[in-house]
Amino acid sequence: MPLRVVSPGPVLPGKSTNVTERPIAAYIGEGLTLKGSVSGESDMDIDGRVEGSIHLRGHLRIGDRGQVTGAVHVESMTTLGRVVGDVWATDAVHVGESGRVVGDVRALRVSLDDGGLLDGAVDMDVDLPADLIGAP
Amino acid sequence: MTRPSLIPGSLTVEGELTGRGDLVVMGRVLGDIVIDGLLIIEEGGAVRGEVRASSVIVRGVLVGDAVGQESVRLEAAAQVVGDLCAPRVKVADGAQLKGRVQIGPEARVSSRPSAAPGPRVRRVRSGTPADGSTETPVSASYVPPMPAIPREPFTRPVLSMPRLTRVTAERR
Repeated sequence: MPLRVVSPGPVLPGKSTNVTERPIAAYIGEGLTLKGSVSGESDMDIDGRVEGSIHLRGHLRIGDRGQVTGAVHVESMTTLGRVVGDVWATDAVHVGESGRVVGDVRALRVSLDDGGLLDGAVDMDVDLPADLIGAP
Repeated sequence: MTRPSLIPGSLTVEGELTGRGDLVVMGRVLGDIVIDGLLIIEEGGAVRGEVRASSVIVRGVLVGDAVGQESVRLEAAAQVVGDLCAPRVKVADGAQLKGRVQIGPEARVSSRPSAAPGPRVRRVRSGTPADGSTETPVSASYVPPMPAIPREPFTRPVLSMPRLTRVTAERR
C-alpha cells in the first residue's frame, strides 16, 4: 500500500505526496514495538508489535506478522496477524485465514475466514424472528 | 527502501517505541523512542521523551534528549528542550534549542548509558541562571507549547519574534 500524505510537508526526502480526503494511516513497521497506548482518528496498519490498548476512529489492519496485545476499540478491523485482547468495533471485524484472535469480539459484523482462529466469545446483534425472541 | 513507520498527526502514542526501521512522527509521542533507523519529527509533530536513532531530524517539537549514532539535525522549525548528542550535529538558523550539545566521534551512544524506560523530561531548567547574569535572552522557564488535540495545522507562534521573552510576555 502506498504511503498517503495529506499534509504537512514531505514524509521523507524525495517522497512525492498526493492528497486524499482521509487522514494518513499510522504505520507500525515490522521490527518496531510500541509499548503503551495509542489513540487517535486515523487508520492504522500494524506489521510490528503493539503492547497496549488501541483506540481509533478508523480502520485497524494487522498484517500477518503483526501482533497486538491489549484491548482494541476501533471502527473496523482486519487481521491476518495475532490479537490477544478483547475487540470492540462499531462496524466490521474480519479475521483472515492467518488471523488469530484470543479474546472476545463485539462488533456489528464479524467474519472469520477458513483457517483463521477465534478463541473467545462473539457478540453480534441477532435479529431473531419475533416469535422466537425470548424463547429458550 | 522499506516503508517507514508513521505516527500521523491525528494520533497520540503514550508509551515507548523501540525496534528496527525508520520512523516519522507527525503526531504526538509521549515516551521514549529507540530505533536503529532514521527518526524524523515533522513540523506539527511532538515528542516528549528521549529519542535515540541512527539519525535524528527534528522539524517539530522535542522535549527530551536526542542521541544520534550518526547525526542529529534540527531544522529551522525545530523546537527542542533537551541535550543533543551525536558525531555530527546541525542546528539550522531559526531552530530553537535549550540544552547542551555534545559533538564528535566520542559522542557515540556509549556516552550515555541506556536510560531507564518510560516517559520523562530531563534538563528542563527553570528559574534564574546560577551565575545571576542579567542578560537572559531566553526565558528559562519557557517550554515550547505542545500542540493541542484535535488540532489545526501547527503554527509556531514564536519564530518571527526576535526574542522568546517578548513572546512569553505576549502569550498572556
